[in-house]
Amino acid sequence: MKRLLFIFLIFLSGCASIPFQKTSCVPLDSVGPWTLVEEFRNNSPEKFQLINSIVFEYNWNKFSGIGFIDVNAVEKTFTAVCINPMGVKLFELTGDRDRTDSRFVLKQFAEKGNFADKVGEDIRRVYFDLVPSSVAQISRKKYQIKFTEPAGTGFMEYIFAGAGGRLIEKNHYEDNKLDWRVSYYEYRQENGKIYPGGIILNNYKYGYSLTVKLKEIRT
Amino acid sequence: MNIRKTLIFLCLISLSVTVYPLIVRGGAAAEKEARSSEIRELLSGVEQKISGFRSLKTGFVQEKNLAVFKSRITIRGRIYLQKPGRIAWHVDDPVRYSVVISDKSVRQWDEDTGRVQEISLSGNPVFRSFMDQMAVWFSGDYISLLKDYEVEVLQRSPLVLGFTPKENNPAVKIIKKITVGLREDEKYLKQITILESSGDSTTIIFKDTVFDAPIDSSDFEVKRRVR
Repeated sequence: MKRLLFIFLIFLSGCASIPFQKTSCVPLDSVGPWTLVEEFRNNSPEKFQLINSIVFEYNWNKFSGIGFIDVNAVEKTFTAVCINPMGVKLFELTGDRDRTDSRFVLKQFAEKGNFADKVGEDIRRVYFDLVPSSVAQISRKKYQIKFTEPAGTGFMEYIFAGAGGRLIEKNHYEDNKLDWRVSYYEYRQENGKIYPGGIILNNYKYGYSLTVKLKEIRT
Repeated sequence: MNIRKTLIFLCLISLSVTVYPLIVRGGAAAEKEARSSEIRELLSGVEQKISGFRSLKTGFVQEKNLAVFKSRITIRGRIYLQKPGRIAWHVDDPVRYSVVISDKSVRQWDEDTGRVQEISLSGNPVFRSFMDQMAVWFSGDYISLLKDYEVEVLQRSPLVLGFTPKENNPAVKIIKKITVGLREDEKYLKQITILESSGDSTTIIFKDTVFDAPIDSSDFEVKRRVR
């Protein structure tokens, strides 16, 4: 029964409309997997500030906000502020690879358990650890290269595809079930670095999604 | 003789120590009373000038300065007011968002969710408080704020007023000061700056304000608005 429910959830998320262009199918047969990873690592920014629009969807409820995030991908630190479109601050967090500190969380959100920790965890999933480690196993298809490696008690997949062979998916499995997925779309280049124009995080365990649209890059 | 002089001198000193502060305090109270009365008169004049319209259209630029980033987010849009009690707030950039508030309902829409949502103000105290505050600041009903704010004149011409929350005002936890600047003709606001205790600040600058121009019914629709 649980399995059926899980398949149903995956099916539902698969049916949800994606507000970004699908990654184009580009043959990657001739590309060395680790060369591709290295290029992606070199092209990714180490420090950046982004302004995004964010849509959080849970239980058929949706709400949107404007997010401002400062990331240091090398030191693995972040600061994030979310305001509603009228400029009212919803939350302000800082964090690193292990912990999240809440500087401000609107009462309505603070009442919902460990809100800051959950948001911090999602920020790490989206912006940190974007390339596999050297122990990852490689499997190839014509249009994509997949790296699989252990992660905690489960495992992580990194899928590279499209023009330039960029990261298009991070999938985390727990007990062989897809736990969460981050999908990256519409990469754009600025100051020699690449930034995904669209990001979708699906958390299958808790049944919510985050859609992030890049509005402005500040380096 | 010397002793007498010394005694008189000591009496004068003693009098000045005990009586002078009372005189000063009395003077300060009178001065405060006079200032309070002057402020009340000034606000009454502002209220009369600002409230002299039936409808209003204005563009706005909202600059949110985030202390944590030493950086700002700029939001641009339009506000429509129609008396009694209708406000439409349309954001055009960096996201497209609309909220329309009337006596009966609050409806909001944004491009990213694509949904129109009815908001219950009773179930959303933060939103309610925000909207109530905005209604007061936009309408110029500043005398009603005297019970919650200390008001000072920061500049005479064009008029700039500073509102500091009093100790008993719950807003004191969040807001340090609100500054309201009027236009040269004092017919409406030029800008509002809200300085928060966190160090963040928000400045809303009003642009191209038009009074009593015909308002299209679509201006009060949350969806399919055309810029």
